[in-house]
Order: sequence, then structure tokens, then C-alpha cells
Amino acid sequence: MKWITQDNIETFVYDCFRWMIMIYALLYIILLICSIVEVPLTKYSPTDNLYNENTREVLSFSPISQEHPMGTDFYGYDIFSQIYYGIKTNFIFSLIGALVFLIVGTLLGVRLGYYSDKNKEFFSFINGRNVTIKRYFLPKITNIHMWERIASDIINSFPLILLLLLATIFLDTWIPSTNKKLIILMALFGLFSSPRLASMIMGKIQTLRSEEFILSAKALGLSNRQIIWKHIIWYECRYVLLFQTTYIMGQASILEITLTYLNLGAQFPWVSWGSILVNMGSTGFHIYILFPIIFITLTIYMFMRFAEEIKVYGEKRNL
Amino acid sequence: MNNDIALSVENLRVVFNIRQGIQKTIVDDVDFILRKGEILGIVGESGSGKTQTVYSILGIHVQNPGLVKGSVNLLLPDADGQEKLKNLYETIIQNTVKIEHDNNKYRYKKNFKYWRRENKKLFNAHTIRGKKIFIMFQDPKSFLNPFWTVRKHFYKILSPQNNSPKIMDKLIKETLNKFKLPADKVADLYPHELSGGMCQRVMIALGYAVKPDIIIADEITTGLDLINQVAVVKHLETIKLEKRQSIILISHDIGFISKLADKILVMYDGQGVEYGNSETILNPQTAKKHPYTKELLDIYYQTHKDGYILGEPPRRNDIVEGCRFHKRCKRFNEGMNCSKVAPSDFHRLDIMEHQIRCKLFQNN
Repeated sequence: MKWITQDNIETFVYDCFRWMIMIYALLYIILLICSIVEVPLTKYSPTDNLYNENTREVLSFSPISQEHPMGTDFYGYDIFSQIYYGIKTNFIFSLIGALVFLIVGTLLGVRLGYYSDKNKEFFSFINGRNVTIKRYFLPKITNIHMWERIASDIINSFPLILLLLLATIFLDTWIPSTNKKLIILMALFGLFSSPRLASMIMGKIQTLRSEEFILSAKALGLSNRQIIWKHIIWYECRYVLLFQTTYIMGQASILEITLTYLNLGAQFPWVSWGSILVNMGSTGFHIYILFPIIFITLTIYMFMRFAEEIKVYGEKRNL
Repeated sequence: MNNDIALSVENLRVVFNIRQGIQKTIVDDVDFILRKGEILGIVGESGSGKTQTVYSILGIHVQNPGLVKGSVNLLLPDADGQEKLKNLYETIIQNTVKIEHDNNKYRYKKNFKYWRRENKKLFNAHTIRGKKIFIMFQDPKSFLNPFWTVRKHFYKILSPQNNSPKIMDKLIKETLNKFKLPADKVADLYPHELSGGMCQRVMIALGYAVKPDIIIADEITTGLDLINQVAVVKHLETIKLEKRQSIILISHDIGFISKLADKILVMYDGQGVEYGNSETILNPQTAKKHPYTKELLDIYYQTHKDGYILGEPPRRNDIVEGCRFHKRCKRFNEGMNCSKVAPSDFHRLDIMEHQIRCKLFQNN
């Protein structure tokens, strides 16, 4: 038996967390698949107000039992049912944001990295000799790639929640349905986060673009599309894409919960973890609130942990 | 030898825009002809524009050029099936270029934002690169894709021609064995697992298997030991004798060129200064020779007084008026006005075999 000493306590704790996340990930996947396929794991629907048939009283905070593994909240909703059906909501809306992030970020990174002439601008910036306003500013103003980079830097620096709240006000006039609004908000989240991925892809492409094997691929007649997607993105950038997308899934997940908590997210018939927090939080503290909090925390931590593992694995392979 | 012209380059000029307001003339009015089954050797010192000339033929410039002017005519089949010389740079780009003369500096205003689009549209790059013209780069390990095995290189390059894996595997085995590479061991290795000489031979084997009309070998013996250099020379001789393909050899090593080349083009500072048969040019007894060629050969045959050419080549930012070599030329003559009026270019290369860009050998 390996004794826990002062030297190995960190690795022991690390390993414990790792095992905990792996077990939770397995549980998450099982619950997610069951939720999507609509396996009736619970007897009760998440939107059923449960009440005592004799006294006609709402079953608020009923004790943990076989029927209610995690009890009920103040309004009589079964907490486990809400968590079980909320997984699907949370995953689907996070996936929308992550897919938009992946697609827009990759396309933007490819455009800025492969099709722009960054070296030219760099030299024009540092070269101070014989530079007049006409020669310096006019080419810069007309250079679309420079504006694309400025736009992505501006978007990257803006606080995201504020942007999304402003977008909600803007969308209120056209889209009354909250669920459709949430889809658009998650897509906007993916869009505004994509410059981060774009800059990483851009850097990778620019370092490789002048490599000789890329030049030889051109000389052998391969098209730009084949060179970018097969040579550069697939071989060099796939771990970056995976790592960033998994990380963004975690962020999108917490964003969805936040928006639902602020009453801007998923509404009936969709059930969200944010709505559990709203119901539980509005009536004062009760110990049962720990159940959704544990699930939310473990889910976010699971995504972040997976992203870290992918990043470490990719760095070990130098990709 | 077949007299048909496989490739002809006329007045090729390439100007790069290095930074704001500064251009660099890399290739300045280069002309040469390559016939079928012929080996052309391009010789010159480092920075003379040999590689960029060849890159311009393929359109694979490392940096987007500011200007490409001239004509590169390649023998391509017509709609009727007959082979004709076609200009690869048909509509580039004469009308969009303005030349201003300001303080003895030539400035090219260019419109190269359409360069990439025009290049792709007109060039038919995919039918020419890797099929009609195959290029071998200097560093074979950089040329080969580090993520692909040798077998995958053959599959990727030859797949349009042979679809069956059995035929491909047989071809790979025969080709590698021909170039003394054990196919069973080498075919499934990555480039980093091969030595430099083996990578070079893999590259030559790829060129052999593709069966292009023209092979361009860009300093393929640089960085190799003597044994591998001899092997490379033998393999190129094999290709020449068996396949009757045209080859362009680029090197700064006259000894390597002299073993294989039928014709030689000597380049200096982006210009072709002498073009002719290798026997004529390499013969030290020939009286008609460009002063730069003479100095190169004197150094090669170890008969040069100083052991090196005095002076330095001109900087590219300033275009030199007159002959580019006049400051280093031992036969410089003020009466000939070499410092102000440049000698005329090559002309009618198909008729006049030996041409020299020097006023000493040109009439008027």
C-alpha cells in the first residue's frame, strides 16, 4: 500500500480529483444519452407540481427517498428530474455556441493566416525612412486584413455578458420566443469568442506557410484548400481546435445557466439547471440546493479538465 | 537530339515589394530555351536569381511579387491534341504597371492585389505543377512532408494516374529499387528516419515515377557528400537516357553542371549574361566569353590570379545603369559607355546558339 506522505500528497489529491472527474464523466455521458433518447429514468416529469393527494398540499422540500432521490424544491418539482432533463438543455445549447466558435474561428484564422500579407505590414510599420502620409496611411486604410484584425481585437476586448444583454434587448423586438433567442445568444457567444481561436490558428499557419514542404506541396500541384486543410489544419492544429472547443463548451455551459437564471434563457418546455437555481434561490437557503450546484460544478470542471488533458497531450506530441 | 522547344522564357522580370516604397528586382530580363531531351544548367553565384527564375516558371513565389513581366511558354496540348507553345502568363499585367523615374530610382507602381486571382485563373497550376514540371528542392528533408511516409508521398503524387493500390505498390517497389533504395524498408519510413542522401534519392525517384516533361533540380547536390553526389549524377544520367526528359539543373558548382549539361545559362545579378553550349562555354580556350564567365572558369580551373572576383555585386535597391558587371569587369572600357548604356538582351535564341550580354561581343 502506498503511504500518503508530505511528498506525494499533491499527486494523491490530484489523482483523486482525476478519478472523480472520470467517474462523473461516465455518469454524465450515460445521463446525457438517456436524456436525449428520453429514457424514463424518473417517474415524474420535471414540470409536474407534486402535491399530497390527501391534504392537497404542495410537496415542498420532501425528504430524500426512493421516489425522490434528491428531494423536491419549494414548488414541489422533483429535483432529480430537473437535473436529468436539464442535462440535455445545457449540452445542446453549449454545443451550438461551441460549433459556431469552432467554425467561425477556424475560417477567420485561415483567412488571416494564409491569405494576408502580414510581413508587409510589419516592415512598413518599422520602416521609418522616406515614409510619407500618402505612402503609409493610404495602404493601411485600404488593407482589409488590417481591419479584420482590428475588428477581432475590439470584439475580443469587450465584456461578453454585457454584449449579450444588449443583444437580448435588440432581439426582443423581433424574436418573442425566449428559446430561439437563447439559440441566437449562444451563437453570438461563439462568434464573439472566435477571435481567440482565430489568432491561434493564424499564428500556426503563418509559421508553417513559408516552410519548404508547403512550398513543395504547391509545386506538386496541390490546391490551397488541400494545403490548408490537410497539411496545416489537420496535422498541426487539430489538438488546438479540440482543446479550445472543449474549453468553450465549459464556458458556454455556464453562460447558458447564467442566462436562464437571469430569465433570458431556456423556458418551458425546456428545463434548465438555471431554472432550478431560480426556484431554489428565491425561497432562502435549503440544503437541497447543493445537488444542482454539485452537478453544475462537476460539469464545468469536467470540460475544463478535458481541455487541459487534450492540451497537455497535444504539447507532448508537439502539435 | 530532338529540336522541339519544350520551354522558352523571354524577358522574364520579377520585382518584389519588400517594404513600403522599396522594390527589389530579383530577375531582370532573363531569356533561355529548353529543348526536349536537353539538360540546361543555370550557373551563378548566390543571390543571382537562379532559384527565383525557376519559381517564376512555376508561379510558386515565396512572397507575392510586385510584378511579373515577360512570357514563359510551355509546350502544352491544344484542344486539337496538338502540342503548342502556350504562354503561362498570358494577360499579366502589363497595363497595370507604371514606371516613374525619380532620383535615379525606378519605382514600379503595381496592382498586385489581383495577382493571386490571375495566377490561379490563368496558370492552370494543377495541370502543370507536379505533372508537366516537377521540381526538386535543395533540402530534401524539408521538401518531403514530415507527416507522410515515403509510400504516402508516392500515393499522393501518383494517385491521379494509377488508382489501383497493387499497381502503385509495384511501381513504388520498382522505382525505389532502381535508385538503390530497399523498398521493403524505406517505403514505410518517415523523412526524419532517412539520411540526407536517401531523401535526395527518394526525391529523384518521385521525379522519375511522375514522368514529367521537365524536371527542375534546384541545387540538389548541395549539402551531400561526394559519394552521394556521384550517385545523384548517375541517377540523373539514367533519367536523361531512359526517359528523354528535359532537365534544368541549378547549381553554383560548375563541376557538377559540366558533367551533365548540354546548354549553360550563366546568371549574374538577376540577368542572364551568357547562354550557349556547354562545350563552348566551359572550354577555357574559347575567346568569346563574358568577362564574368571567364572569371568563374578561371577560379574553377584554378588559373585565376587573385583566387576570387574583386569587388561586390550591386545592391538590389538601386538599379544600376549600364552593364551590371562593369564595376568588377577587368575589361571595362569607358569608350564603350558600359557604365551608362546597358548591353542588349539575348534575342532569337532558337537560331543563335551562343549569346553574350556584353558590348565587347555585340555589334553596336
